[in-house]
Amino acid sequence: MAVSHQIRVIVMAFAPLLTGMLCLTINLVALRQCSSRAEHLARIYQSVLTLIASLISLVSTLSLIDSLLAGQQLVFDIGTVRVYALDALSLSFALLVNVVTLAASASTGKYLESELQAGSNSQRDIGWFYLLFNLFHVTMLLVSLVDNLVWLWIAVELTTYASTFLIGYRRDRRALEAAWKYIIITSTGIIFALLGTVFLASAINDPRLPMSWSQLVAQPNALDPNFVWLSFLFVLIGYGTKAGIAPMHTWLPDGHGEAPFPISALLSGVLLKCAVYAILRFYTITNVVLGSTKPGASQLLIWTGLFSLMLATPFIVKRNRFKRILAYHSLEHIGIIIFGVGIGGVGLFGALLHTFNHALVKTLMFLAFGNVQINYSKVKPGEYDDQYVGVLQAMPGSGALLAVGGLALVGAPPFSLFFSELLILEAAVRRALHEPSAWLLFAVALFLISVAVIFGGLVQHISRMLLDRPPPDVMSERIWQVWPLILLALPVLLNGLAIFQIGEFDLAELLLKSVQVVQQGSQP
Amino acid sequence: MLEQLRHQTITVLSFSMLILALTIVLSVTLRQMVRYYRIQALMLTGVVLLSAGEGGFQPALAAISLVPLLLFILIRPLLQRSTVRHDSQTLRKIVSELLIEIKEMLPGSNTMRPIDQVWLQKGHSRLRQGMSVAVSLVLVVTAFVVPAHIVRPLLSNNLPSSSLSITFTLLLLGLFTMINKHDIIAQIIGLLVMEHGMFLAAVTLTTRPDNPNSYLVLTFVLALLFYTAITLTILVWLLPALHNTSQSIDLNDEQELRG
Repeated sequence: MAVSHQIRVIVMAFAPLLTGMLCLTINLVALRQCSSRAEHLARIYQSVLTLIASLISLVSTLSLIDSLLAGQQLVFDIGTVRVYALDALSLSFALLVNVVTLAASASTGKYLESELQAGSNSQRDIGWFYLLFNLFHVTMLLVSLVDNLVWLWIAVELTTYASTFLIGYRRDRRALEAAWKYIIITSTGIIFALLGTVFLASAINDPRLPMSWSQLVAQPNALDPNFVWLSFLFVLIGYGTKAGIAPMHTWLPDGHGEAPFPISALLSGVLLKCAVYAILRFYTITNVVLGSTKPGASQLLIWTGLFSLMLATPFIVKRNRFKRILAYHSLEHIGIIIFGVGIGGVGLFGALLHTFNHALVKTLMFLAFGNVQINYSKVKPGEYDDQYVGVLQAMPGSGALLAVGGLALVGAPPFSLFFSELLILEAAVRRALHEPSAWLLFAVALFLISVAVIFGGLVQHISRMLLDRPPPDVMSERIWQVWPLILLALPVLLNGLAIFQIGEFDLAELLLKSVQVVQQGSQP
Repeated sequence: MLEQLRHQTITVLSFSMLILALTIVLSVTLRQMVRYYRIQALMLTGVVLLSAGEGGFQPALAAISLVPLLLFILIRPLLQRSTVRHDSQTLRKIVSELLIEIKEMLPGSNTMRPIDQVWLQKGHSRLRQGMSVAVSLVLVVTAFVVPAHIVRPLLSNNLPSSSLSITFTLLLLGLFTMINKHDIIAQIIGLLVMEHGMFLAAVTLTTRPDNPNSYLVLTFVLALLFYTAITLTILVWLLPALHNTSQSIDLNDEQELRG
């Protein structure tokens, strides 16, 4: 019996929400019992429930994707209010959120246990962590599900709310400073996004037309082009801050660097992409309304993306703590994604694929490094994470995964990021030759130089970490630390050889349909 | 005529908010900044209430006027609380401390506690006063001239274009305050001034007589409520926690994370 899409959407969105509340309840019950055994059991239940909720959400998403690709309309209205209108773009981002959250949830138990043993948190804190983790999951899903653009802003704001507490979870000076910078910078940026949304509301000439994305793109003549353009500019600044686009990226290294490693994976893997998703929605409206009369939108994205890529380069090369280096890689790859979106066509396809690939690789890196942090916890810390040496010898599984992830991150073949970067680059060169455009060729040259320098930078950092003799006091690696990450590493390799397809699910088809959604009204 | 009076009062209140934003930027002590911010919050309450009468009374919009009013009441005790060390942060303790501090604000209550004299004296700027004045005036002119060229051709005759210019002014001055001041509380005040600009923009643009969309108004009201929740999170949780760990509200002491 086919389950209606409304129920599947409810299951997808509410499974983590209910799980979060259940985890908190379980924790409170365990605390009342005042028994270490009860608390230990509670931690196991919370970890397993969070994992199951992520899995349920993922299965619901896959089921909805299956229905969409089969041609079913996934629209739900209550009276005149459109609750959601799911298309390929929203489901592809929902899929991304669920995959990364599933991977991160598999590591939360290990992380919290290690913190408990180190005395850095308490059983009470663990309950709140699981609640916030699941709330964070729900809020990111909401971003991709909502159709109303004001609700989109609210959903993005809610992600800020949940993630601030998670970044500052350890409540030491560094974590709180990172949470502070994160909330101040993103809150400042999000004001511009709201102003952009207000301008779009002003652009609507027909008072009966709501702020529903699907209805706005269907009636471009009802929108004032000048207000739409103004709206896009403000939205790019506003959501760009949340996406970590330069020069509004300054919260990135602090937030990613100080958050617990499963949260760093979520921040880098999906939170940034949620903000990119919001930009894509406004970009589509801008393209539909302005069309070829205003190519400035795509040019703006190209140069913004390039600027982010170039700004990340020196910070990746210089010596720094490893998680901060990974954060600057996020700046680099977000830049590449935005660059690809601006190029359009095959470049847009490459950008959407890059979104997936980067999320998986970055999650792999943060979780593998998290294993290293746990096992090296008894080693005296150095200024620039100097204590992490000889990882390949001390922890061969995690070390190998870091090596694979590192090579993938710098765009080395045959890994997934190489493939998507190549698509973007090829599209850029084709467009530069087709137009023809000297400035675009110059942009491509800068792109190549930056990527080459970054390659050298990360290889240097990774080799310093992996090679040499490990210090004493490193705990031995366990198989349960490694096998979930191997499952994550497989698509990192396989997506480089051919875009993921299993059974009825075809990622390429989903992304192609997403490209069609974004490219409405613009040049193919 | 009543309609005209309403529009004129909104305009006067909006311009007063602009002047207060300038005084906030140029304030030397936090005490002055907080005082001017509170007056600005009251004026915003007035603007929102008067705008709620546009095209028939809009209860959702009238309800949102409670938000700046709430901040008017709570801002001082929340900031004050965040600069005093707290060993425990139970909800009951937070509420009882806030009630004590609110009572102390009432006329005829005890004079300023010694702790107030310490934190309220901070508020110095990175730039000298003359330079701060010059930059502020440039920002005001920019906020009026640039939007006038871009926005005025786009607006209908019914829409007060000066309100949008004031919105941009509040945004720019709030941003400048955040950059220019040395301490965290001044940064928060700057953020709150930007929030006032946002309120003004949302209220102005969603109460256009040629665009009476009550659902749109409601959703923007919700958006502003969520934004205020973020502000309260900073004031109730993050700022006290930050102060407890670093024992300072000076931004120079929050430079542990670099590079």
